[in-house]
Amino acid sequence: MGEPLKRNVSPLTQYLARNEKDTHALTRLLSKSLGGVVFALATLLFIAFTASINASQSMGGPMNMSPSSEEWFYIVLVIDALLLISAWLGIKLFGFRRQAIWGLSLLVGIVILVLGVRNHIQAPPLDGVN
Amino acid sequence: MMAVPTFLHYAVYSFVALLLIGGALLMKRRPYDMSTTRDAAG
Repeated sequence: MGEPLKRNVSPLTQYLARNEKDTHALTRLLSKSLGGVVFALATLLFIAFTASINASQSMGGPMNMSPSSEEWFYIVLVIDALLLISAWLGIKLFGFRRQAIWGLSLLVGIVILVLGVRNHIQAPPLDGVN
Repeated sequence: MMAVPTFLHYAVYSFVALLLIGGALLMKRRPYDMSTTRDAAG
């Protein structure tokens, strides 16, 4: 009864079934690497975009089409939300422990704080308010 | 260079506060704390 069914199974499936242990290890390694890369990229971009919220802009690009500081803030909010989702997926794939997550959260917070304070200090003065 | 509105500086500091407070809360909460589960209580 089982023979005709076995013949329909693709060679790849047969190979995977024969080397189930190796395949499992390979899949684990690949998903961990992918998770690590996704998490690292998302973290770096999150830091860069969040710190750019209060960075002073140049006087405007060609035809003055670049977004103003306020517009850029709302754009960054959307990008940050997408990056947080990517980072969460990366964490799930990599299998971070809770201790690693709080450590990284504190580290990212401190890096953004340093960049934000630097932007604040170097910002050009506002007219009238000072 | 164009001036940056003040609220944007505070927006960045709010982000930082969220990350630091979130990290601190995660650090305080013990993983696998069985004392709050129904089995242990009952």
